[in-house]
Amino acid sequence: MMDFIDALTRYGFLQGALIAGLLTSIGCGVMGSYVVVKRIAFIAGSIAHSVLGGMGIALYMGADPLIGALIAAIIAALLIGGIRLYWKQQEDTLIGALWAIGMAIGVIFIAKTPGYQSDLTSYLFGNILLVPHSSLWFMAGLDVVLLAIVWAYHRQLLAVVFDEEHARLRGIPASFFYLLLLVMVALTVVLLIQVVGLILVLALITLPAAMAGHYVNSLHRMMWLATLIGMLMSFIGLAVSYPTDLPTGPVIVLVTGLAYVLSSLWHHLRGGNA
Amino acid sequence: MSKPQININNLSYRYGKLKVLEDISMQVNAGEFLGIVGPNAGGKSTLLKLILGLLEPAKGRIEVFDKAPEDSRHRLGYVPQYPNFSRDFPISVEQAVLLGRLNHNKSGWQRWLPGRYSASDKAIVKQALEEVEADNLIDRQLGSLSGGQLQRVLLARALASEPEVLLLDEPTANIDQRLESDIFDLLKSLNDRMTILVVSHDVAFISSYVNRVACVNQTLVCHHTDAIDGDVIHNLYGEDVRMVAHKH
Repeated sequence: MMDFIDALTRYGFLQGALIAGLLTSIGCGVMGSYVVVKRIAFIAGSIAHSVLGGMGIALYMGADPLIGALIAAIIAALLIGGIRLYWKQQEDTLIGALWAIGMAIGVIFIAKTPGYQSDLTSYLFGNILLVPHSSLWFMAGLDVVLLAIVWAYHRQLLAVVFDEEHARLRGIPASFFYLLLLVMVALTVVLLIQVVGLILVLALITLPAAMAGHYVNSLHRMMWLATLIGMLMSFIGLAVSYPTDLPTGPVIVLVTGLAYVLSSLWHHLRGGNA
Repeated sequence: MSKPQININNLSYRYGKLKVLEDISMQVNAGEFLGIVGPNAGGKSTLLKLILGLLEPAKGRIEVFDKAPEDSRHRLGYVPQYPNFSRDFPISVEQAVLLGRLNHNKSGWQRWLPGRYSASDKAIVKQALEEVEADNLIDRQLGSLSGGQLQRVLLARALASEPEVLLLDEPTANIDQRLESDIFDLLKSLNDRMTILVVSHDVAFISSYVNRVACVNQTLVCHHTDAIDGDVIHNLYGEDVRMVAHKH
């Protein structure tokens, strides 16, 4: 551990990785809490995977894949929101289809992109050690946007995730806030892609919030605790992966998963529902 | 004679091809305590949702305070039969009831404003919880409440929005029979300041509280309490009333 702290003070790439981990923990803690209490993890998974379509197209056109991811994530969120609002009978089938179709588009465009294609695995699994400084600013910007919206509209968002019908009866534009919520989840997905890649995104959105849910009894405390848990897991994951030379993103996911299992057992033994 | 608060004309509603409600016309006046009774799946809950503007009629018109239901629903309070939220949602009783204060007296663009709850919002929530005798639950988790306690909290959430008309869907279906008359005594006292529509399957029980009964089984027959006799119940349920009573 001391070796890791020592390395952290000396190497810029480790500092960048830690900052990236801490920044994503904020988005995950806040938006993950909404995802967990609203039970839309499957929707978040579909948005995350379909993002590959946007990244592939951007790469093919020679644009920044992150911008492609951002656009694709927002389109996927609006499509899924539209399906839920207007085509509810087929919801799970359509969301599953979007999941696969987005990835298929991505793989085809990446295959047709001329040149060396090492990037595919880093999109799928992330590479926290190679996050450039410009991306750190981009992540910080996304966090600020998410926090500003949650700060301003926390009552409306709570009303919609708690009881949509009641929210509608109170005159809240419930469909708008539901779509806004999905777009914010999409932004969180983009935030995470560089750190753990789009396949592992789901674990870091849901697990810290689900763990926090074992110990607190209000949504805003859940957000705080989930953020702190996420930060701790990023730090431990980085500290474990550095001396062992294991890929950092998957190690962070495993550490988080292990902590979740232990927390669930502890919570269950104390008499709560796991 | 003042205008009716709720005016329903030739209303029909279908769920897919299934006729749920057929050609219903009725008026509800200020200060009424109206019981809506009928067999299960007879369309009672659907009628409430149409009045609230949660469903669109296939035919006919509903006017609430002379406007479309969507434009008047902030003047209505609603207590659903089943909660629409999961019981383990991390929220306190106070936070849940405060949601009843959202957008109070706000319309149009004002609904889009961010903001916080005021001290008076919190005072009104406390008062609503006192009125339903649940003020001791204010700091409890919603998930830790019994069925009867939850029903009172949902009623407090509806009261917190200071409604002029209160609609309740089977308010005593999920609670102890012993508490059934407590809830109805409470509704009776609320009736002094608001119109009440309550859906129930229990004709005999509610007839001692309400001043009019609407019987709904796809179509509608409206009657005052004194008109409920064997014939009406026979028309409504299509079978002997004793058998109906045995079902529950």
